[in-house]
Amino acid sequence: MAEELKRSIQEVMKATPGVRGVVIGDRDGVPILRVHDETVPETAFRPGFLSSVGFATDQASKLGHGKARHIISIHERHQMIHFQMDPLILTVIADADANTGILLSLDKELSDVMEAVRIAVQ
Amino acid sequence: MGNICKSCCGSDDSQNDNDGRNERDPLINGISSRPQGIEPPSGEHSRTGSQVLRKNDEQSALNRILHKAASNVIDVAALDTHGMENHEFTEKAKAYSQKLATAGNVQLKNRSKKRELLPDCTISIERLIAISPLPSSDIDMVRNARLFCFTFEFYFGFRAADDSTIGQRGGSLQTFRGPTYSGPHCRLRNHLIQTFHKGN
Repeated sequence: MAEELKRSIQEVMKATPGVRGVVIGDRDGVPILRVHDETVPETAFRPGFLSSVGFATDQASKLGHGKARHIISIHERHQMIHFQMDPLILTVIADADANTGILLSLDKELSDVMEAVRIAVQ
Repeated sequence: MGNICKSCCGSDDSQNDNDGRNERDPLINGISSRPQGIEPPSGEHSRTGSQVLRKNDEQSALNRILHKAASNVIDVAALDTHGMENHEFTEKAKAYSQKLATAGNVQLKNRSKKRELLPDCTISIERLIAISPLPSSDIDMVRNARLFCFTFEFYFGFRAADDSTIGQRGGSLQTFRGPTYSGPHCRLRNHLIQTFHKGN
């Protein structure tokens, strides 16, 4: 099933300009499924990096503005969007100049993949 | 302020799933996800009686209050303490990959078909040629529409759909140049103007 899911993610990546990688992980930052090209730095898959998202979301929800649904961070070369899709976290890595609005629609586009992963690992 | 925000944004109870699972529960049971900052009291096995039970209750209640207070504090410095051990990380990653490998097939969206804006023609050339042509009424309608556009353009001196031209000339009838126009299509234009005036 993993190959099928990866193929599906690759098709979404091909159809969305600027997307370099997609990582599905748990709240502790453990990657469950990841598809990316060679331009994505390996540091993006370190345990500390991915786990910080779940932690940051938890902290942000204490600000009193409700629960954070996604976190966008744009760096020098890449931008990263983390979607909080409990109990999983979907991370999209794209070029810094990619259209962020289009990237924000990827959680809906990949909803079937996320559901399949959730059922498989729970 | 917390209470006000809570009333606006909804209670924290809504974060729990319908099946009773909390979003912070680990996906895989049996593997501790994070080191706990506050551990429940251990020991006390040798003692029995109501006094011990009461003491345990008080202790657990205190721990609960402390844990709740700690969870409400924004503590960015605690990020380092939330990291997992390397062996724990690899153990969980392995468990996930095994679960994915053993999971059954799933129905996913057919993305290749969905995103085709101009799909390839699957009909053979023979069948394509054999298809009946457009009805003459449709062709006449297109020709008439073109004639109307030409009439409009030559009579008023600008294209209806050309925004730049309309912008320059204000899109008003002041752009009418009269019958002295000497362009390459002046004969056709003059004919159309005459036809238009006759019609009126």
